[in-house]
Amino acid sequence: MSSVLDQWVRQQYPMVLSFCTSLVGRRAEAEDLAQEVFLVAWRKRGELRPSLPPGPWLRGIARNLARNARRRAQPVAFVGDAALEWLEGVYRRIEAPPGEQWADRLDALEACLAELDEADRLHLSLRYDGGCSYDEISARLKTSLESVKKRLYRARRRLADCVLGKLEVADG
Amino acid sequence: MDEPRRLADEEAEELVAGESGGEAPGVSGRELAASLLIHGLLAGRQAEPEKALAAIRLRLGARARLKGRRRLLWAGAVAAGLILGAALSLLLPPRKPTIPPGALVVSGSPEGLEAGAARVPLGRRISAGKAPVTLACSDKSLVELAPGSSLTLHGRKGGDRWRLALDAGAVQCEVPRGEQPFRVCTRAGDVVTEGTRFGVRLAAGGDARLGLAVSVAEGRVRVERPPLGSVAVPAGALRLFPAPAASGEGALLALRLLFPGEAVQGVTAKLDGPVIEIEGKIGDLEVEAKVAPDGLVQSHSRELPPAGLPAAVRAAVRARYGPDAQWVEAELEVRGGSTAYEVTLRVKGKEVEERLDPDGNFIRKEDSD
Repeated sequence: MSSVLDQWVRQQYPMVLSFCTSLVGRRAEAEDLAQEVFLVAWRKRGELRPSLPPGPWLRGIARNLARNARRRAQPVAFVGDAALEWLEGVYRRIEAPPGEQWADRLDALEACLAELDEADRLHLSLRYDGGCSYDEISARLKTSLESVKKRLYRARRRLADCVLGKLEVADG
Repeated sequence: MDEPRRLADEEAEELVAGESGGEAPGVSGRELAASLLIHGLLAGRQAEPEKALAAIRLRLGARARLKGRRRLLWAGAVAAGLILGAALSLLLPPRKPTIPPGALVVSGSPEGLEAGAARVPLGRRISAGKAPVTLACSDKSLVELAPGSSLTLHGRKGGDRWRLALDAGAVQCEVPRGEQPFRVCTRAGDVVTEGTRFGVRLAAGGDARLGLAVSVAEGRVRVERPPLGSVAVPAGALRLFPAPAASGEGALLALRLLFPGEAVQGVTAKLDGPVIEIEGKIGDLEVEAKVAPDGLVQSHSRELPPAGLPAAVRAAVRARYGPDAQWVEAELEVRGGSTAYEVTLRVKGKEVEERLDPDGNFIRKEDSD
């Protein structure tokens, strides 16, 4: 039933896209993978038990698709199985509080973003909200490419430490 | 944690080495996973589910067409076999109904639905706990029972192709078009359709015999309340039965139907031209509904604490006005089936009002001193 698919995509797509981006890195490939996840999920919809939340099931499909791509040596970036399990654990912690929308569950991320200094936030905002390339950020902020890369790398590291701390997740 | 094995993607390469600026030549699997986690969470904030849904539908349609062409070839082969005298058409696989994941398949269906899902017999009362329950009926209608709700399945009855009795709570139904009616019976009236998407909510507890709210996403339903007669509800409408009066218990019942599960207090109602304006409070926060005298709801809204706004809305506002903007008010409004958030901010001494959709897109802007 299309309305069921609609509901799935509207509620779960942001989470699935986040997870797929973690798996494959680049946004365009992550969007492709996320759409494929829903196509496979729709085909296998009889396998989802009503008592279970769909999140872990959808991420399982994403992991399998990423593994299959790895076997076919497709150009996707990914981490190994242990890292995948660790990522799954973090996502389950994020999903633990009640709430229908994925955005409602990202309080830890929002809080940690607020704790970053202004320059870090600006770099991240240009990169993720504005979709700017490293070169574009470098040109806009009149700073070197290496400086942009270093700033983004450090900002993400700080964010990771902060988010994992707030979620009380062991860092593997 | 194991090391990454393949990194052909520029973004991931940058995550591992490029952005380290040479400071971290041997990035560990844990560091990579943590970086990828944040990379994914940040990228996911910009997700556009509606665009994704359109793309998924296109891909689903393309695959169905491909499957159709394959079926055609298969049918040709079968036809050739038939010419040779074999009744191979009997071996063609039956068309399977579309049953959503986790649906309970209602048995007693004349078509005998085949699915791996659990089956429930007719006449059984079904209650949903904390999660909704989806039921797949023999006519391929789907019924989603809301958490805390219960219904009894009757199947084919009288002239109805399918009948169920909603005992408490709410259902959402998707009914394929057919000649015989699909009927949801309640103590406050029957909701009947020949095919559409609609929802029915009963007033809570002892009020269940008094009132119901009917919303229609597509097509049209009629609500039969003997001896009061039959009333149509068109697509896009939300209608209350009975229509609230400009005072008294009807106004309280209307707010209870529009804000289910909430303790509504301090209800007042007045006529404002042709519209009944009903106001009340949930805790310290105000709620409001504008209802036509025939029970059609024009809009309903509730005040929200800023923390109650979706993160996408908060992030969009912060991105436009910066961290120094002060929240003054926030409100959720439902009008004509659309949901919007209205926020009022104080920015550099000026009050600014914004209206955003649930994904954080600005709808309009009004400035006022």
